[in-house]
Amino acid sequence: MNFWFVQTINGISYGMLLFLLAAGLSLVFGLMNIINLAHGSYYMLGTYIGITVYRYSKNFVLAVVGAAIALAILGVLMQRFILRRLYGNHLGQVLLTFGFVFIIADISLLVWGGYAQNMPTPSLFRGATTIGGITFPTYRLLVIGVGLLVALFLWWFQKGTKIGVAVRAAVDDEEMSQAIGLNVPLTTTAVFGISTALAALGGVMGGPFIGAYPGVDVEALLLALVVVIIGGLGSLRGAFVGSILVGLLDNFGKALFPELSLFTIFAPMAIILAIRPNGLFGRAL
Amino acid sequence: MVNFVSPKPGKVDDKAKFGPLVINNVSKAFGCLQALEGISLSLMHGERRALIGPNGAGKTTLFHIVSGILAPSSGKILIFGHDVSRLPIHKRAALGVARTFQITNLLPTLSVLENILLSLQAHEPYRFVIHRPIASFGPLFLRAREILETWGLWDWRDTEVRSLSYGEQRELEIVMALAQRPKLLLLDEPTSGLSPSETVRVTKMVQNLPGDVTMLLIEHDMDVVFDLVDRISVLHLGRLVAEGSTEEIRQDRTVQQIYLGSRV
Amino acid sequence: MKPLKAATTLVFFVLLAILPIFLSSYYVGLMILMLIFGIFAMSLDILMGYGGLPSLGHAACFGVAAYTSGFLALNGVHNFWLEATAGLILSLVVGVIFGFLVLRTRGVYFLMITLALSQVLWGIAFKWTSVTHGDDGLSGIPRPDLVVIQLDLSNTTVYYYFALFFFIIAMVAMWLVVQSPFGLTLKGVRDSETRMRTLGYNAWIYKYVAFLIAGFFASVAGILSVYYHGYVGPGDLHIITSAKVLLMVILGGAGTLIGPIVGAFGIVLFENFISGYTERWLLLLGLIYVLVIIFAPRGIYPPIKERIYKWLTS
Repeated sequence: MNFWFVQTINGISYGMLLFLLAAGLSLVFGLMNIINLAHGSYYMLGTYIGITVYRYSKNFVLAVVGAAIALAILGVLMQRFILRRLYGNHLGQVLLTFGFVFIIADISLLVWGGYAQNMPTPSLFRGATTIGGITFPTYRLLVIGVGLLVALFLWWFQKGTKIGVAVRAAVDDEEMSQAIGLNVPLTTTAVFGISTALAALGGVMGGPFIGAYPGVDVEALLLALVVVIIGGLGSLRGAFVGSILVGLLDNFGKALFPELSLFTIFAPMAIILAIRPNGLFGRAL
Repeated sequence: MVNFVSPKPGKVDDKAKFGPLVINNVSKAFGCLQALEGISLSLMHGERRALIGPNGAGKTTLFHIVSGILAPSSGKILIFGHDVSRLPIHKRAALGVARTFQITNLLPTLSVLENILLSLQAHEPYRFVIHRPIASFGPLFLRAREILETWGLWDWRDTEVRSLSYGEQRELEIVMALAQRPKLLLLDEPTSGLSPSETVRVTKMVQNLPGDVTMLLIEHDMDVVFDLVDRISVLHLGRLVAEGSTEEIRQDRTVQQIYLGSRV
Repeated sequence: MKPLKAATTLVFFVLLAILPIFLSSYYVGLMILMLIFGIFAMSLDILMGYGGLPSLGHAACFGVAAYTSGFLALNGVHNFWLEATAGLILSLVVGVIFGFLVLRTRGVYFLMITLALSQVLWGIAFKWTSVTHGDDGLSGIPRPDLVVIQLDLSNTTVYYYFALFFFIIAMVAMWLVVQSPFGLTLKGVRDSETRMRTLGYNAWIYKYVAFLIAGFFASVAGILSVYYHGYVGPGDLHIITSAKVLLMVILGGAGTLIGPIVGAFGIVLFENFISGYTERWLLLLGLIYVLVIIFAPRGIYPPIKERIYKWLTS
């Protein structure tokens, strides 16, 4: 019985990491109409940078902050100097960001080597917590907590704040927005920076139990894509629901059918594609 | 010809059911926007009808519903007696319907000749042939040449369509439809954006259509309308507000008010 | 066909036929790779250049065919024709199923879904160690046993002509497809699906058949590859392989059939050249990707073709 509960928590916490990834992907598409496939690479860099910062500072929070800032800068640079040239050209964006996947992957290999690396669980959250007679790994609960906080923040950001509305306006009509005094380049760049920082946050949070290794970028990208396909591109709600679903499926799949775990992901994806090609909450492209 | 006068939209005459086009109480809503409401319209064989109305009245939406690009929220469409409500776009074309689009919709990277070839080939069984070069289909090329020469486009045959001028593209759009020898022709603002001389050319094209071709025309240029059609249906804010011969519509007060202003 | 085109093609084939005589077996091996990727790239061009369906999962059919043939060759079947046919059939099944799933989407969604589906196949190949030997892949696959024809395919040059035979057939076949009424219709669907539907074409069928044809020729390339290398691994199903062949098509020029061959030859040569100097070929591949998209999205073959044409007709 304990097994099932622990696996569920593991699955949901994994789903939260995916959410951080998928949300960034969906946010940037939903608000800015840009598709960026380098998201898995941002996740991986987040983990690597987090590990390096932690190695020198022994401070988990610093690792998170360091990675988030580094990736935010990278994201901003990429958007400012490169992706802006391809506005509206979805195919070009996809291919270009894919080129970056290769570049980042190789540079990571060069800098951090080919061996899998891990981050030790922060001391405050080591061990287990017992709730209602069932024991859970404490760190996983933290991940879920962080994920939920981010989800709430993003929901509020997209719906409520002036900035959220402003970004939507900037995307819908750039000229008009600038005419009424909105700093379009700043807003769009800020959103992009936030999305990459989120991916980095996911990477650092995943440091203790997933770690970093060559190939984790594509794995993360694949799962983020599956989430977005199931949940629907451009929908925060879809990203959340899809992430939990995929996290649980992947986790149970690996635990129960290690050799064919990817089938457990493939099946729901195929079903969604067959019945609702735009995803559960997606908008038509 | 039976005079089918009904200034208010009503139920469809039984005799008209096998006519080229019967629109029976069609409505279309986009979310909370009611684009069309209770449209009933029927064309007789060989009839030339214009569909006029201010912008946003729902004319192109109606065309999309007839050709199958949009599905109606309620109501039926009958083409030559067939209920086409569930029929996909390409199967309606097989019934003899051809249309032009308000925004030119040609095949931009293909040449003028290739566009016409595709138009001609659409109902031929050999359109699925995969192992023989299309250049070997002599009769197809002869027909294409004939058509292009008739409309003076033969010299442009190898030009990519996107290099043509706007006027030439609009003309090609109509030729594409005519090349299929349709029995029901839907023209969506064929003369919009054309110069006066181009408008004359296009008007002549349509006037010279064989008598058994039924035509429904969306147009804003009233001179063109009066030249080309016998009857007019007037659409306003998604409803059919008037229908009658060109003379009757000319005199109709309501129509003048909503659309023609005080000039006629 | 225009005489100039016919003449150049003939010269091209003749060159391909006689070059091996002057080259060491290392370079002949390189030429075999060029032919394999030439077929692979052309097959993607049918889907992407002519069909307007850019796929980031084209390695799927390539890899499935390779794994099937390789698996059978290692498990008692000593008949190339049976192995290859099985590879083609299984790959066709994948194409039939994937086609149904992906063709309800367009543009970027199509790209993402093809990526995801083919990466799932990678995952299966990677984890299903009992059948695919996981990351080790299937190795020790012998050169084809043609049963009725006595050919020593373990000789590189002989294998080259074996591959060249299929290359020429594949190229002619794909050329016929794009020149046919089907091909013209496919181009029309690419340009404007609504227009084609309104004219009376069932656009979906054309896209689906194009998907299957592309998969078929990708399988041919995959089969030639597994016998050449004597090996197939999860990498043959990985997004990197799909991205590589996609780059070949874009670099060469989509929608021209010849362009992708140029792209394929170029990238194979480049990879071979670069790996002699540095291990950073993935980085360079990424850089080429970025540079091509920004500066030469139409590919290098169309402008070159135009220049040559202008020069020849002046």
